[in-house]
Amino acid sequence: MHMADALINTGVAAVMFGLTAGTSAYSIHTIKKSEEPVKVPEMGIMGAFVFAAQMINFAIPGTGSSGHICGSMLLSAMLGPSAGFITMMGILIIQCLMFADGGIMALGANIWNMAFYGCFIGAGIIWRSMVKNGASKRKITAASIIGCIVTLQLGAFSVTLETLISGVTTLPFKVFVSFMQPIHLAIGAVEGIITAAVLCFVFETKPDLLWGVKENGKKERLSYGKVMTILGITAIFIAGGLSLLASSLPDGLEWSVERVTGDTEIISEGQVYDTFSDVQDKTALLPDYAFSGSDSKFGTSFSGIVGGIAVIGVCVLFCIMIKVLRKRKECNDEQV
Amino acid sequence: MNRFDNMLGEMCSIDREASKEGWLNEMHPLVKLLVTIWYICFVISFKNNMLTGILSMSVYLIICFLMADISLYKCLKRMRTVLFAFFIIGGANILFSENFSTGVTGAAGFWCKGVMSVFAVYILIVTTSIDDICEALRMLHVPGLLVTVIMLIYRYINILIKETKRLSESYFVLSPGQKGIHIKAWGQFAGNLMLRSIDRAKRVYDSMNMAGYEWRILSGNRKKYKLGAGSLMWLFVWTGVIAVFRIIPVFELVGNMLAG
Amino acid sequence: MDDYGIIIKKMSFCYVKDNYIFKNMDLAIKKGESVGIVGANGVGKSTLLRLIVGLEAGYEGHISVSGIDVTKKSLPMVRKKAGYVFQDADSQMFLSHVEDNVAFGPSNYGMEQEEISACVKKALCETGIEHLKKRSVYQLSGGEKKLASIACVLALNPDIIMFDEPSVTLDPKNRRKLIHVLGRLDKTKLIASHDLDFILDTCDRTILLSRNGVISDGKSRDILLDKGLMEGSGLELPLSVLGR
Repeated sequence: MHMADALINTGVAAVMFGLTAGTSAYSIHTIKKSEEPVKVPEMGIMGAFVFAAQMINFAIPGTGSSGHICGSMLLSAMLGPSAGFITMMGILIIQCLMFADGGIMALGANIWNMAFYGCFIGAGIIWRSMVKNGASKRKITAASIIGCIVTLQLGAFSVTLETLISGVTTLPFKVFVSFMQPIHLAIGAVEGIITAAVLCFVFETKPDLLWGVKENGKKERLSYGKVMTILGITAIFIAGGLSLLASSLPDGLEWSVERVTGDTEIISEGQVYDTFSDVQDKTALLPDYAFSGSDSKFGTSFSGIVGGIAVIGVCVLFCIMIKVLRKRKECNDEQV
Repeated sequence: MNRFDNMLGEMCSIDREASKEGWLNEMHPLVKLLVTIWYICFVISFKNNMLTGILSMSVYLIICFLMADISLYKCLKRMRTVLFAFFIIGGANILFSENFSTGVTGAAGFWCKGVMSVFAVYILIVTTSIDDICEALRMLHVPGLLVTVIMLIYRYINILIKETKRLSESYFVLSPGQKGIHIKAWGQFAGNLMLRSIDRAKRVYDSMNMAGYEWRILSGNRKKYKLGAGSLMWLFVWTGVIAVFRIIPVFELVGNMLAG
Repeated sequence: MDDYGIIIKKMSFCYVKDNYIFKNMDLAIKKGESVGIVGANGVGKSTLLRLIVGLEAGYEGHISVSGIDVTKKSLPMVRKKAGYVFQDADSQMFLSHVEDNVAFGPSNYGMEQEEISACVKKALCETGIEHLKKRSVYQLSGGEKKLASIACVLALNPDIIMFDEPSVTLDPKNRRKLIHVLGRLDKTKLIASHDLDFILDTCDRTILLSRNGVISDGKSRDILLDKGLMEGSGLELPLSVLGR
């Protein structure tokens, strides 16, 4: 789900940076207030653990594929949402600045999509509300799976929105959504099961390490029926909500057909895209080229090509010249 | 378990490249970070169909690659997954655009923007060590807690990957023919690794406290950067040049002059 | 009393209530002594070292280091006087470069930049690894890491240094090098180890621990070469003596 720089425009990037900065300021404030100094090394090393754990292949039975761990939900269930968020932020910054995984401009958006939902909604709301009266393996499993699915759906939906508002793709909204959401439903389910397996193991061996579980709380049993009901309601909510959203916009194929047949529905479609492009114009900080008319429909022109070759040629020559001069200077220095 | 060794080897070699001597390596990290962000800002501000404009921004990349002796081959090899993703997304753009030619132009513009912004980050990565980046983040007033966490994560990735490698080797030795960890062992495998990590965190905390640490910010004392004339010049020249190339269609103007 | 680096009087400690690891223990270690602590697994060798530097709290009785009582308040002073070399060098070096790790302690104690550089230089010199100063911890071998972690402790210039299993994971050559480095260090040393030959080579005095506390305390050769005593507490004679 790492977004690249090319998928986002400057305005959207700035907004997402703002949201992320606000959340991290809140998180740091909370951590400092909690006065648990041991958290700092724990955050760092758990962050490294997520890196390492992402390299483990968990074989999914019955398929040839494998899944990996859902970091934000797991971290927050161990460290709490605030510390989990800062740790995820650290992971994403390192992925961006060491492995070029996710762009620098898109960093704010990436942190929001992958850390915020998992930490504050997945762990802060779903996990906490389910285990606060004492945990059981069933509750942990339910909380992990629901948490991972919901947060991945939210994350994937945010990616879709951010990309569309940035106006870098011609993909119609419905196509994009119907591509992103089901894939992330499957990913979320698998990650949820892995997260549940890990958290259940911790619950059995060192339950005091889990966050948000009431100490010595009475062991409240969560019946199977209850779990299934919660899972069912979540699924209906997600499926219903998304299909409502998706069906309000006709997809690309319908749109072209309508255009050919001159259907009036095209107006509503046009309005949606007008709104999007309006937002794009407002969020794009820089105007088009002063002579943008010079680009042909292939995006470039003869003079553009000639000029490009000339300018790049000059640059290359300039670099070679500087290198030769420097080498000569080094040789002279050595001789002296 | 080739995957682990590849990752470790890659990290080690990037680390070595970033901490070797070279004029771009020794440039102030904040300047490098700011120029990179400035550059990407301007590259992604182009519309996908403004191909000449997008391509004109490659001047920065060409100069950096040539002057700092960065290997293009290694860059392509390391960034192959990211670059591949661009081709897929760009390809999808063609399918859904009004007509084929604008679709191709849009996809080409998108590819160039993607590749160029990744290359710009790559230049930053191979010339700047994580300690230097943390130093730059400190100067940007990023909270010390976050910087400390970044430094700790980076320091222990290597050790935990080795531990994961040992653990999965011992798993696969005892379960021949399995492609991944069996579902029954998921919790125990990753859970054990996590509990070990937490134990390690406690030892690290002890050793930090032995050295008198109390809520202090971890920061390297290795290099104290001064904002030298060279770094300042690099900052101002590129800020200007990138902005000029974004606002004025330099390639076309030069082309018009040459071609009459 | 000034001659003593560490004094332990009537000290009792337990992790689980009433399951005492130490009961009314008495121990005194003179300044400049090299003391080996041996005993079977689980008798509390590491715990003893951790108690002395205050990493374990909640003991009864009295522990003092260089004349300072070990209490929560006095920890900064105690830890400046007594350093602790962890068994696992990676836990001790949490920053990426050797130099940063060695400078970590001095900079926490608010020293000036020049003073820190001098401390780092001296510590690296004492362990003979000046050439590793600029290296990344990733690129160090096991033996180099061990020496670097000792340098981290030496940078604070403590009077007493405690070593937890220092020779573990070292190859014979690095082990010999470590013995040489320890021999040159002019400090009070406490070494907890299963490597009896290592103790024989580095310590004049040995304390033999068992579940009932200190069984024997005396010259290393007298204790480590006493077959009955060693086998009685679940250990064997040093390999060099067995002639294997």
